[in-house]
Amino acid sequence: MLLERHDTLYQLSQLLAQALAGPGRVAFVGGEAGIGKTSLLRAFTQSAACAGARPLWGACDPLHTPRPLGPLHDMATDIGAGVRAALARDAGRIEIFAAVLDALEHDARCVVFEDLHWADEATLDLLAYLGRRIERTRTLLLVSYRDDELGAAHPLRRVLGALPGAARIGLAPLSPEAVRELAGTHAIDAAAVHRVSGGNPFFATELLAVGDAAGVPPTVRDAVLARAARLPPPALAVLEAAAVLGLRIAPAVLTAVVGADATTIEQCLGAGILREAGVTLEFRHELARQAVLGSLSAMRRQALHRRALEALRVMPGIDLARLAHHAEAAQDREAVLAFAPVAARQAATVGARREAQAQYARALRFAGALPAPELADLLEAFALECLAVGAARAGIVARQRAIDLRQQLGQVAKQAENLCRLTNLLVDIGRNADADAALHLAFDLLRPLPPCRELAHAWRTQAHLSMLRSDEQEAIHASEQAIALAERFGDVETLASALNSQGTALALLDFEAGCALLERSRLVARAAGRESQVFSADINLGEVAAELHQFARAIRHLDDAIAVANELQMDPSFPQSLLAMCWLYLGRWNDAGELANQVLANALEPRVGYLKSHLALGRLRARRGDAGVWGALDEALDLALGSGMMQLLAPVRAARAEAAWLQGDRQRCIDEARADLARAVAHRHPWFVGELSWWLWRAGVAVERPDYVALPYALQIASRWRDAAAAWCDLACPYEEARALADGDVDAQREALSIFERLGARPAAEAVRQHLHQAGVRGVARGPRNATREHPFGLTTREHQVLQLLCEGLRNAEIAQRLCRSVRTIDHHLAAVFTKLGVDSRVAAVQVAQRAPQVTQSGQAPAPK
Amino acid sequence: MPRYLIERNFPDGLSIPMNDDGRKAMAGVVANNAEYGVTWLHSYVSPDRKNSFCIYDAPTPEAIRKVADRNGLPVSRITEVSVLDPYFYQP
Repeated sequence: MLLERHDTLYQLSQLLAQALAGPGRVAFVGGEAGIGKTSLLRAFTQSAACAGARPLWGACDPLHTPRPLGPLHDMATDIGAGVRAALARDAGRIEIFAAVLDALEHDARCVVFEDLHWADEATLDLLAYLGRRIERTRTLLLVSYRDDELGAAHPLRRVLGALPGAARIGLAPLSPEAVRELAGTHAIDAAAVHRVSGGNPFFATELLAVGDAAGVPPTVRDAVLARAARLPPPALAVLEAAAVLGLRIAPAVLTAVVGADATTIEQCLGAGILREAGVTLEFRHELARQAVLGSLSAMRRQALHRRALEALRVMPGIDLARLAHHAEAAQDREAVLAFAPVAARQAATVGARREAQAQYARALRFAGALPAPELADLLEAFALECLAVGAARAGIVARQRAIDLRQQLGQVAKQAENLCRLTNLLVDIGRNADADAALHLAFDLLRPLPPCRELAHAWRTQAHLSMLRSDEQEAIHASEQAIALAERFGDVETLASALNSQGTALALLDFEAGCALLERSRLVARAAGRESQVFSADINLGEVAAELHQFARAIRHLDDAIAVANELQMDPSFPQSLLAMCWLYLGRWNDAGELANQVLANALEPRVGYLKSHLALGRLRARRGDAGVWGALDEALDLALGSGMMQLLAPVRAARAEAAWLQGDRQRCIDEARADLARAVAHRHPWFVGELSWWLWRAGVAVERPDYVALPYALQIASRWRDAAAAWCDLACPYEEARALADGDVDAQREALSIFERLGARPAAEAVRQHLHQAGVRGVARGPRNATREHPFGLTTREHQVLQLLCEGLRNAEIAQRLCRSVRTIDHHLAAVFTKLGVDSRVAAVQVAQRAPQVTQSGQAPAPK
Repeated sequence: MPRYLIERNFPDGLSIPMNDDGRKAMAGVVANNAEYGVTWLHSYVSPDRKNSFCIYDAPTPEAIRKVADRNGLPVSRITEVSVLDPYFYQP
């Protein structure tokens, strides 16, 4: 019986109607366990509203390490031959995802993904992939999840965040009236049932089934177990086996495990704990299964898992993740080692890296007695996945064990390769000095050997580490060695990597030549299908362009990198952080702040990749005069100091010098600017040396001005403010342009003030205003001018907002709703707008606004679309 | 979550009518704030109603600016603050 869900069902049918007419929609259905998500979705998909949409249904299972793409496998029979074929031949995930999208593009459907709080990584990626492309389909994608079980770091949050256009449907608890209706003629205190169950429909139903006038059981577990206690022993044994087997069970499996027959299954169904769902049986709710499972002794549970494993391993079509799960719970060492590594490889193929890592970890828990070569293989596979999922610390421990084992086995080349791969993990958490030491050891091991692939790998690692250290000459030399060996041994991974390091290093000396090498690395990687290296080439193209203040060019490459990351579901936080920094320079402050905060909201442990987000926020807050400057800049400095890399330290020092200056702390500005200037000078970096020297000059310290310093800073230090402002204008950096103008004559200072005010740069604007005032210039407002006077037509902020919404085509009632005002107030605002614009109709107002775009723009550049 | 003091300037004076429009305006501010995890605790307003000092809980200063823009409210300065009261040292 579905109570109090009419409104929600209506909402779903509206969404479905929209989706079927196109473009498609996504809706998230959230609520606590037992609130009735499944019942609702089932009622909806079986209703007349859904008749034309042939629902597809897939669910996630509560396994510790779920089967990759489990829900997709559930719907495989119905979704189309293309997807079935891709799944059957273990295709890569991009191929599988594309097949699913293709199937949905051809057919209007209602697709349900159930219980996504338990989803594996590949399923979440599939969901994000489909969600981003839903407008290409005529599909309603329904996703249910327990909203009270999503911690801040739950991976489903990433998907929820990635699909801002999705509808959110929350399920409320039942009212006391509904519980009374549910109780019907039961001799029970319905108010007590409502109180104890909190209006949770599943719990309430359980209470009603076992409670009576004498009392209501205090917990859902007591209620379920009271029901189970009424079963005869053979049926109870079937129920217990079912609890161990999972939420959904094929009757044949139950028969094989516990000898279930028609009678005992019938008794379980009759007790209302199990129910039929098509050809399988299922618990009426996962809470019921948990209650039964929790009542079993550890010994009993282990014995049942052992029987489940024996029965399932001889059945066809049982997935490996399930077998590995039962094998571990049964403490069956051999079975774990037989199933978990294969399940891991299968998971990695479809891009479920977290599940792959977990399966390898499971195998390693039972690998104590394995022969050394097999154990080393397992550790190496595990460490690779650790790097992929950002679990560097666990990966480092595994690499070190693998290195010891290879040494004991006398496998010198493999020992060296492990040392090379260890460096990547160390760099990921900023331990660059340890990485250098590990590589040194690798070279010592390889030197006596004839040239081999591992030597190519070592040179490539050398090139990478030198590039990170900004030792361009060494990076270029090592890359040449690596490229020659890689070509000789046909090692594409090493070739692409060495080209990347060489190009990145060269770019500072010769920008175009460096970019050409990076483009070649990109091509080599793409041709070999090595998408993570394509990603890396795009990032480095973006990074070198940004380092040389070529922001438009940087953004192009970073957009490419982010697109690749989204396509492959890789972590986009590094290119996003860089992008935020570029936007800041280009004057898109709101966008920069939003993106940087979004990156950091998803950050788990501190990683070098987040540095530019901290840096962008630190600079943004300093320029606005907002709180939180030093928190962000201290995080950035910690990361930069840990890595010891000049190209991270120099911009962090420059940002800190700027923040100190804006807060009026001249000495600190000097100290920060000096701290790492010598290192930037040693690398002859035009921009870093330029900015740090300029801050010293600004603070009144005499500085050298080497000839390689970047033009705008060289001009500013030479007091050629007009040329400097023009140079910054060419680079499209408004704040820097205004900073140069502020050094100029009264007219230039007035212009600087207007740019600073437009950007919302309060401290810089106040400094210019004070300067003008002291110089006796009249007509400069004492405080910040308010938005009204700045607006070309003198509109107030609210009138301006009303006009914007009018231009979006909203009716007065809609504007009133959006701004939470009465319609009368909006009429009043509009009348004022018409007067100020000198028009007498909505159409004329919109036309004026369109002819003069500044009328509907606020101080910020428009948001990107 | 950090606490902030937000200084606002209303050159034409702040007016919040004591009627249903005023109630709606307040409810709108609260609803917009909630979308970005921002909580308005309370405010002090100068006698000429040209300046207000608002105490907010918010995840970041950027979130405060975002909702201010949504609400059509000006922001002059955002300072992170913590509570200090005169009875701090008394038992």
